[in-house]
Amino acid sequence: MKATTLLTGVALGAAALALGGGAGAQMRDIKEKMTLPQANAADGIRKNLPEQVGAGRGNLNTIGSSIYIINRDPARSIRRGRQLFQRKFLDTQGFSGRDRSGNIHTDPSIGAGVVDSCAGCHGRPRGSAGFGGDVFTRPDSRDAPHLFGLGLQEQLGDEITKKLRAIRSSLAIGQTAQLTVQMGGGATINYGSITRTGATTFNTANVVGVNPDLRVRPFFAQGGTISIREFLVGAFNAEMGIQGFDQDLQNAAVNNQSVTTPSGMVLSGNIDDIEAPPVPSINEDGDGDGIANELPTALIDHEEFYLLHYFKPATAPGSDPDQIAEVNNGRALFMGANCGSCHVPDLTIDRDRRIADVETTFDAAQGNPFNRLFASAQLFGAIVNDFGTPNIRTFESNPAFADSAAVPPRAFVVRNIFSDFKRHNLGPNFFERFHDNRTAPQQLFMTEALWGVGTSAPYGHDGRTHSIEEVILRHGGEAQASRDAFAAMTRANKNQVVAFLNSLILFGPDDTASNLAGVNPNPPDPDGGGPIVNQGFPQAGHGAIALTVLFNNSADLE
Amino acid sequence: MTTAPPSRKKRLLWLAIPVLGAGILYGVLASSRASNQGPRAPAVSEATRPEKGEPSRMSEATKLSAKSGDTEAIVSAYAAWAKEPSAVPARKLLLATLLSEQDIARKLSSLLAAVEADPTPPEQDPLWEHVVQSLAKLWKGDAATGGMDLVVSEKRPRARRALISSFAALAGSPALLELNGAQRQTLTETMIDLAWHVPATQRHEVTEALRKLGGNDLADIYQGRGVTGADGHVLESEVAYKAALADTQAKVAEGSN
Repeated sequence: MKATTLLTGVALGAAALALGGGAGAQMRDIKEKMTLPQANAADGIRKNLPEQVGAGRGNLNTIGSSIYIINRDPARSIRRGRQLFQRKFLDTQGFSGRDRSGNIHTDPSIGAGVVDSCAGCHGRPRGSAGFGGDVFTRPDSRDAPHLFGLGLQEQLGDEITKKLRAIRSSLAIGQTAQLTVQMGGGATINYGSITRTGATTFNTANVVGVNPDLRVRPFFAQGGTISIREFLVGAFNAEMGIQGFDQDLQNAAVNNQSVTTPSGMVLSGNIDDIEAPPVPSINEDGDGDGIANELPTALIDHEEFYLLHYFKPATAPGSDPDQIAEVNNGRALFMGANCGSCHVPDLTIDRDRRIADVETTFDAAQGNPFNRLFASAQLFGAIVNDFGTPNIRTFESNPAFADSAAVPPRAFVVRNIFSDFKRHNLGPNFFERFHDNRTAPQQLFMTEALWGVGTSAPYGHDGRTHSIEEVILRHGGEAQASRDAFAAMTRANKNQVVAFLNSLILFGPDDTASNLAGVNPNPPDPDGGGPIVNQGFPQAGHGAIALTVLFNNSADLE
Repeated sequence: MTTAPPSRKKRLLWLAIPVLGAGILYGVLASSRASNQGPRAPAVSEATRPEKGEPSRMSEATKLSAKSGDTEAIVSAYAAWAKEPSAVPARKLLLATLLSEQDIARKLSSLLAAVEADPTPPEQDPLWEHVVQSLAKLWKGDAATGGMDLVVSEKRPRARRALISSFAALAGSPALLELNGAQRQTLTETMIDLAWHVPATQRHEVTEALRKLGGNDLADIYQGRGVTGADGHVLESEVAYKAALADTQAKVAEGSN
């Protein structure tokens, strides 16, 4: 069995540019703007919404369905999810129109603004599922976080949960155990202790940093949501007024079933509190705008698969030896101040559900002038023909559906994430008011994963702090000692800590050269003619993380 | 055409060794090359030739080595004979057999299993340095990248310690220069991250590894020196910072006159 297939030898450079096309954030599909004169076909979404829905969810043999594409043409599914993420939705597609009446305290999402695209809040750096928005409105504001590495976070939260629950299950009546998990690099995360008091009862008074159910919820600043699927269906509703019915969420949340999504996430509705979809059926018009089934399940499937695979942030220590030394010293100072006890640098996933990983690092030689980064994509399996035709293939080792003995589990070291997936009290400087000005504000927040922190100012869940140094000094509570250690450093050492954190960055996939499409200063005309007119390097030929070359049919663009 | 840099290519091949236990992933791990080749029985060298008075262990080891595919038996014998000082040459032969495995993933899996199974404290283990140096010699090319992930993911204490020591040894050897720039940076980051989690007895070698990888400041910071200025120690970077500041101030003053 093949374990790994590298993406070397892929048709690169010019071909990728020609086929991949340019792209930016918040895109219209070109079929909506064909009435515009001289519309650039390379500058938009190629498939309209019905084409993105395709044959619905279907199954492994339903050509054009989400299940079929995820399992047989996975790069296309990822790309389709990306295009959906960038899509600017129209009123006629269900955008907006959400009924905003109700109790904003019990349902704070009704205070959300309305945006017509996921990229409206998660769009920086350009073309990425990054940061930049502030839509979910609380009295103290909430910054939209970047979504880099989202799938790894979902998996880490899920695996930590399993480990915690395994400890709980191992207890005899009357026995107490520390809820300590080893997560790689010698680091351990401790969630307090638990005591079994009966056959099915436990004393959870000493459980800390996680709910008594021991379910780690990696999403939202307060740690509120388990899965990418719940997260995206909820955001489409709350932020965009688009109500999707999802049978998977319905079965898990309402019917209390254990459901495995097409991306391989197990939603244990029989154990966990899963968020129900905003409407109970495809026929329900949740916001009374005359449109039902505003987010068909196939789109949810592609979007989940896309976010499962979203790139990790990059590291950019630079190439100048003095700069590298500054970054490394800063990292050591950061660890020495015990910041790494919560911002744990490296964590290990025992079984990675993704089909590929992208490693992005500073590379002045192979990168382009935009960011001098270079991304290396690596498939974790092999695409093979199973029916003997080029267009019907399957992805060997794709864990999304083939979780059998023939497909072994796989481990992955998640480097430079800097989180412990635990809630902490960082003192009153981080507390968050509720709309009713209750005396007890939100006090506990998930440890912010620091990857990408160098390019995601302003800081704090509320975006109230303008710089890295100030947000460190804002820490208190459980982080008081580390904060004080930083405050006591010499000026030069503080600068080194900041330099280190500034080396953890995000990037725009369309503007980052990769082994899928490297830098090519002389790209051919996409129409087959001579060099592109009026588009000299680097506006053209700068390379990109272009999945198109991995499609079963690269000529069929998304 | 561009290709993926070798630094991260085969990461997945390595991680399952500590995380999932030896053997679980073998069919996958060893598939890429030489997957069906067992270890080649090494010739009995001068170093491992039976000495007078210890024929039984050495002859057993020789037999085990001849059945080179039975790594479980080799690992068991290596651990079981750890209490017998006279069995050191025989155990060295067993290590040599494990090291002769052609597939790097199989080799590491069995080697680390043997290291972990040995109950001897590393400080009293006559073969510890041999194990560490043998591991260090493996860290080249993609193997180095995979090995650095192994260091992070390995949870078994003795195996983990051996891995850390092997990379500390690599950092202090000329072979460090055989790693590419990205690998050296990853090794530096890995050592920094691990440094605060190693046992006290391992701190010295980690300190020296950090010094080799990142200079005196990195080693000093690890030792808590020069961080606040209160201890009187001044980091080289602090000197450079103040010199640059003074230079700039002088230029500003010069320009304003």
